[in-house]
Amino acid sequence: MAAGGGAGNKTYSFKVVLLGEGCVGKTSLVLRYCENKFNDKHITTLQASFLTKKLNITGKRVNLAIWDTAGQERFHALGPIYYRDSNGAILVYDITDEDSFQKVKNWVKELRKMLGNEICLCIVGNKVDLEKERHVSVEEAEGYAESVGAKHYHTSAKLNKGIEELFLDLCKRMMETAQAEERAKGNGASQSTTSRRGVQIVDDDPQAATAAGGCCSSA
Amino acid sequence: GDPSGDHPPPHQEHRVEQVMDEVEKYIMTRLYKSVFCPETTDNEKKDLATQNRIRALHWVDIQMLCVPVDEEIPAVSDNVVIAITDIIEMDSKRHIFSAIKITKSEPASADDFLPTLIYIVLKSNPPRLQSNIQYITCFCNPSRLMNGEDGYYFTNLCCAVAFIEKLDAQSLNLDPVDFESYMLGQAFPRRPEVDSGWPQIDTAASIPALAQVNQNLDLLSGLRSRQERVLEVAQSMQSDLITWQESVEREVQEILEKYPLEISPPALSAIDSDNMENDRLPLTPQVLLGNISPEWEARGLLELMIPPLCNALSRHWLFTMARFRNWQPPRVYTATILNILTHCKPSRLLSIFPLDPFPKAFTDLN
Repeated sequence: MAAGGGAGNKTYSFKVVLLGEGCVGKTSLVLRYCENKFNDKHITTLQASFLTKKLNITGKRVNLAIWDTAGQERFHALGPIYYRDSNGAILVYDITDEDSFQKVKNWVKELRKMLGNEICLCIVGNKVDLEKERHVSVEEAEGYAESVGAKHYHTSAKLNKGIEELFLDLCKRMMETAQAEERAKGNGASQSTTSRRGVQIVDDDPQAATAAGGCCSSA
Repeated sequence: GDPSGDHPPPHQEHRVEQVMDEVEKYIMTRLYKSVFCPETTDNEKKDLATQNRIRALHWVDIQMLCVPVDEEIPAVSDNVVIAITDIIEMDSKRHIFSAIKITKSEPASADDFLPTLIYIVLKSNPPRLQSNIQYITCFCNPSRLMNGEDGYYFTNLCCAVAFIEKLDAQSLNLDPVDFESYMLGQAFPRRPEVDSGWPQIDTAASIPALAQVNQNLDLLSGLRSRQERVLEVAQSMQSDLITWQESVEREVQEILEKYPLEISPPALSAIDSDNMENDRLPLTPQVLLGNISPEWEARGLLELMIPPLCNALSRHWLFTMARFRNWQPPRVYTATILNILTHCKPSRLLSIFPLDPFPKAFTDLN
């Protein structure tokens, strides 16, 4: 993950959460990407809730873990548990369903609030094969994405359109973020390969240390 | 410096992982006792709270959670049962996925998986759930806990627990009032009729569990009426017994007056020879049967004589014996009583033979 880091033969591991309402085609999207299958009667995969993909981008290995999340409204409050420590989020809506786009907006607000700018956001309008029934205008969607610092993509899991690009682009962006983070951490030399945003060991601040000391000396 | 130096080449990464697994296993096995749910935490309280919470939610059913699993399909319900058992060992996802896949015949997404997992957790109410979660959160290698497949399912379990803790009327699409009364156990959710278009089907027939309950209720009420009948009969039998005993006493008294006991010399020969063919041990009292008037025996009076004889034994006969110390009861008479007593069931003897007056009378006279 952010553990990403480094040059040479370093392997990046990224966690990507998949958010979106029930019927927007999250599962189809990810199954198409990882298994290249769509509504296939012969799908042998038992599940499509956790899938991985190995990539090689400009000579660097990337392990992608894609976390599907339950999209029902009743599970909305559980979101933070899912997207904690994720490097990227794919927010899917159905271009024929205005509601699902509103949901995406809610997710974006929440993600920005909880994870700041460290997370790479992708807003994905799925089902472009149903262009005729479009209810979310391209301008509106792209404009919104830009305003929140996300990138917008159009995909069709059915026609296998735009999906490869989506994931490739996201991976590149996550790699950039990881590299920038590393540089910021200072010279790469002191990097800890296992340090993570979520679990960071911070030295006790001096105040706490003295407080403890005072306690001991008073005894 | 060159950070690439820190990282093992890919083919060794797997080995490193393995070694770390082993080290972790070793350390945690050693530490388990002291770090699993240490006394300084309130994990145990939380465990109990969660268990009670889940118990209070026993009425939540598959429809309320919109679980995409059809338990009518045998293969599905089998998987559900296994999953319920396995979640206690934190290993139930495969069967959950199988159940979903069989029902929906497509791979399970998180939309399917999470509700099903919640349902399974509710049905199994795993012990020490919070402690286990705390233990894993505190001690598992964080880069694995959050990243890999294990991390994903662990996160889902945490989500399930969080959902159960926060669960309210809204999250089940229920009326808050209904929810309250279900929680307090004052009401139980009514199944919506599966086919409201059809004329009302006998609900017992349509829902197997209900049919079972009804059948059990029938059995219970049957048992109850039978028990009442038994009680009635027992009471009438008791009164019958009392009157019977009185009548027998009267009869015996009459007979005793009519045929006073005449003691004839004992036919001792019977002990050794005559009764051998009876296959009885020669020294059992039965051999003295010959001293009981054959007429009594023929008339079935022997049995009837037991209660009055016992009375006599306790009140009169021993009384007499005590008064005239040098008086020996005729052997035959003793034998006869012994003989009769052996015919009598011990339980009956105890109820007939009044133990109380005997020692009293006896001590009075001494």
